[in-house]
Formats: sequence, C-alpha cells, structure tokens
Amino acid sequence: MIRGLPWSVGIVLVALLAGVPWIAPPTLVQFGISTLLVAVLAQAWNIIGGYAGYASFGNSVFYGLGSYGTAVTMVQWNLPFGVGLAVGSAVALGFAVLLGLPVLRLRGHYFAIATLALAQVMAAVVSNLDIAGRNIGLVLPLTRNDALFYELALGLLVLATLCVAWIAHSRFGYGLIAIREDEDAASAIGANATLLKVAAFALAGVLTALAGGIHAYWITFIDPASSFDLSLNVRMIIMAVFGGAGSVFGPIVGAFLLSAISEVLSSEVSSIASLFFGVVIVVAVVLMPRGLADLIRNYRLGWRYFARNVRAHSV
Amino acid sequence: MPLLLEVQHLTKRFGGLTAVGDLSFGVAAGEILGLIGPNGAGKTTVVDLISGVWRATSGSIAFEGEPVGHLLTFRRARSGIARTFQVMKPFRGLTTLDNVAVGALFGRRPARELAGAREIAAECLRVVGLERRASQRANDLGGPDRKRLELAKALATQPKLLLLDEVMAGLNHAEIDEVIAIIRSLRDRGITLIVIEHVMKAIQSLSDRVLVLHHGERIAEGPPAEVLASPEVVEAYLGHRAR
Repeated sequence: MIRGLPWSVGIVLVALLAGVPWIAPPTLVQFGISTLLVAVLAQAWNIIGGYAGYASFGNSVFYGLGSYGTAVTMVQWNLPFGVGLAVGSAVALGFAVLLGLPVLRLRGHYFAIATLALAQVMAAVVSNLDIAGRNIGLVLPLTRNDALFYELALGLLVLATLCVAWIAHSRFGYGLIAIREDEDAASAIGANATLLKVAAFALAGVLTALAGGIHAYWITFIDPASSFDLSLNVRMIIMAVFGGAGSVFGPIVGAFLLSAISEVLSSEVSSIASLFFGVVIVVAVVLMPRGLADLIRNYRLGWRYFARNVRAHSV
Repeated sequence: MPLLLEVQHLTKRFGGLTAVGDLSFGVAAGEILGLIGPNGAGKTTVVDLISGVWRATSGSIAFEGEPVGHLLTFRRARSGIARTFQVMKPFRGLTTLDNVAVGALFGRRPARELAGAREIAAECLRVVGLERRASQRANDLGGPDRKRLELAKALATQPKLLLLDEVMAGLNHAEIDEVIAIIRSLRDRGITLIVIEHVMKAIQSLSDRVLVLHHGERIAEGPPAEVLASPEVVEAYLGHRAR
C-alpha cells in the first residue's frame, strides 16, 4: 500500500501493539484479540481472493476446521494447545488441497457459488460426529490469560502479513496476479495455474485455521453453527475489500477500522450498527471499489477519484 | 533442415462443426510460416491446438520431435511454444514492465527473482519499441501498444516457436511496417514463427512459405507470390468470379 514503508516503522508499530495488554483495560485487550484475529482472516482471504482473484466463501470452513482440530486434540486426546494448532492446520491443509483441486477449476461466480454451501455442509457433518461433541459442541480447558492470546493473535497477524508481503514481490505472487487478471494468458506464458491456485488456497487455509484454533482456546467453547459461520466469511471479505484486496496492508487497515467502528456503534446504539455496515458497503462499492489502498495511491486526484469510479461503473 | 513443429492429420470438431479437418504440415527451424484464410477458416483454432488451449479430436503434434499433443498449455509454453492472443489479454492491474516480467518469471527459462525478470522484460520491451510505456498500467495502453505488449509478453518466455495471431489487425501502415521489422528481428534471433495475418503486404514480405486454410482444410501451400496468385485462394477469399 505504502511504497517503501521502512521496516523500522513496521517493527515499531508491532512493538507498540505488543505492549497493549500491559497497559490497556481488559475489555480493550479482548477487543484487541478479536480484532487481530479477524484481521488475520481478512489477510488470509486476501491471498486467495485478493491476489488470485478467487472469491472464496469457503474460508469459514478452514476457520471451523482449525477450531475443531484444536478442540478435539485438546479435549478428546488431552494433548497440548500447540499440537492442537498443528492438527487443525494439517486438517485445513488437506481439505484445501482435496477440495481445491476440483473446485478451483471453476471460474468467477461459479467458484464462489461452489464454496458458498461448504460451511453449512461442514456444520452438518460436525454435528453428527461423536468425537466433535455432535451438535452440542466442545468445551476447552479454561486458561485465563488474555495477554497470551493477544500476543499469539498479534504474532499470527505478523506472520500472515509477512506471507502477503513476500507474495507481493515473488514469482508465486506474480503468478497469482496473472491468474487473477487472465488465467488463459497466464497458462499461455507457462504458469501452472492449478498448482499456484491450490497453493494459495492452502496457505490461506492454514492461516485461517490457526486463527480458528487460537479463537477456540480463547473463547473455550465451540459449536458447529458458530464455528462454520458463513457470515464470518462475509465479514472477512468486506474488511479485505474495504481496505484494499490485493494490497499488503489494506486488509489490516480495513479490519481495524471496521471493527473499531462497529464496536463503538454497537455499544452506543446497537440498532444502527448493522445499518451502518450496509451503508458502508454500498458507499464503498460505489465510490472506492478497489478499497482504501487504491484511494491512498490516488490521493492526488482528490474528489475526482470518486467521480471517476462513479463514472466507470455507471452504464 | 529438421522440422521444429510437425502436425499430422490434425482434426478438431466442436459438436457437429469441423473447425480443423485432417490438417498436416511442418515448420522448419528458423522458418516463418504464413497462415492465412478467410474468416472462420480455422486459423486461430490451429494456434489454440498447438498452444494447448484445446485438445485435438484426433491427430498428432510433435515439437522438436517429441509429441506434445497431450500436454497442458503451461507445459507447452515451458517447452518453448509461445503465442499471442487475437483478443488481447493484458494483465490490466500490472504495469507494462511487470506484464512482461510475468512471462520471464515463467516460460522456458524462468527467472527466479523479480529483479532478474524485470531485466529480461525491459529488453523485450525494447525489442517491440514499448520501453517508454514501461511504468504505465497495461490498462492505460492504447490498442496498438497492447498488440506490442502481447508480443513482448510472449517473447519474454524465450520461445523457440512463436505463434502470432493477427498482431497487425487494427494498425495503420506505419505501425504495420514497424511490426514487420520487429518480426524479422525475432527471426534473426533464431525464433521460428507462424504468422496469422489478413494484412497481405505483411504475409508477402515476411513469409518463407504460406499455408492457406479454408473451412479447416488446406487448400494451398507454397511460396507467397505463387500461392496468393492462385485462383483457388482468390476464390476462397472473394468468392466465385461472376461470369
């Protein structure tokens, strides 16, 4: 988003964020954890949706698999949290590859529709598994250590962002962008589209599953409906697109901004919080369809930037 | 001279329509083959079959003596077959330089790093005369420049065989002369070319040999002057002469 953002600035920002649990009140730390996790989700979606251009509605499945992988490992097998995260990620990875091979052959809207039903299917599957606590869910061991969860979530967001920053300047990332812009042309110059897409889907899947695992252990209770929740997928898309899909920092900015606004609104006047989101989406799509990142890149245009977008999309 | 590409009994049917029927031809290394024919003759389908966009219904394609008809598009590109698209396919969000760099990152001799790929890309932009547009977004290029971009992208994959699908369509006379000079320079670099074109001046001055398709079948083949003068070819293009 910001060309040549010095690494030192990034390190200072992360250090400041890392200090929050030691000075901020507990409610703010809790808000921080959920915001950092949702920023990870937006950043992970950015890899498959923003860079490869495949609008995935299946990412909430990775989230659920990460949650359940962690919960089942800890509750049923009495293994430590770290093993749980590894199991959840491995399951998500396997799912991404097995599912990606057939589903990523579909293009555009067909891919979106094919992934749309996955969350409900998985919720139904999990509801019938004894090991996953059927439709009641699972209760994880209680750990009252919000600072730990906060730092884990922050670490994961840094990891996800480093992945995306690498993608933005790598052969892998250029292959994804080429696929997004024109898949036939990408193949014609030698890009193995299938391999690149599945790798992007798998990377997004693992990062999303890690967020799911951390969230499950933090919240200590999971059930099928809230773990495989399509509306969570919609939220990550809105945040990534609002901030700027296909940019390195856009999805984080989108997640932080929208989480903060929605938190303030829902504590003041909860009835207009959802109305606000509807308005934000409509306005953003009309005035800045390529997100905040693109707006900042074109800040010199001023109001003409919005006028140009309105013109470009009106028939 | 050994054949770089050898196509035998190539047939492609779309439902009941035979787009290419029992077509056989070869291209020698270093040759420029002109592929002409009226609209709908199957020229682009031949390019699609060689580059792997479509699989042939029957027949075989050999490249450097190896069968490639079963390979996916990207494998053929990596073995050295590149093409341009008649309907241009720029990577719109990327700069002109980075569009071409993608070709260098993949292709026959893939660059490992973006910096190296950009060096190759800059050289390719120089070859097609697009170096001044390097930092512009592909989306902001005009039609003629997009044609050159197609050429540069294909070139960046460092192909042995380059299939050009109407790279001169929509260009003016001066631009056509420039593209003819570019294509000659590519041949001088050792690239073998198949050129689909409606611009007869270009076909005549470039081609070592011309292959004429009509309804997916070969109706003539030979030196350009001879082929273009043959009554059958004139008839395919213009219809029967009124008596």
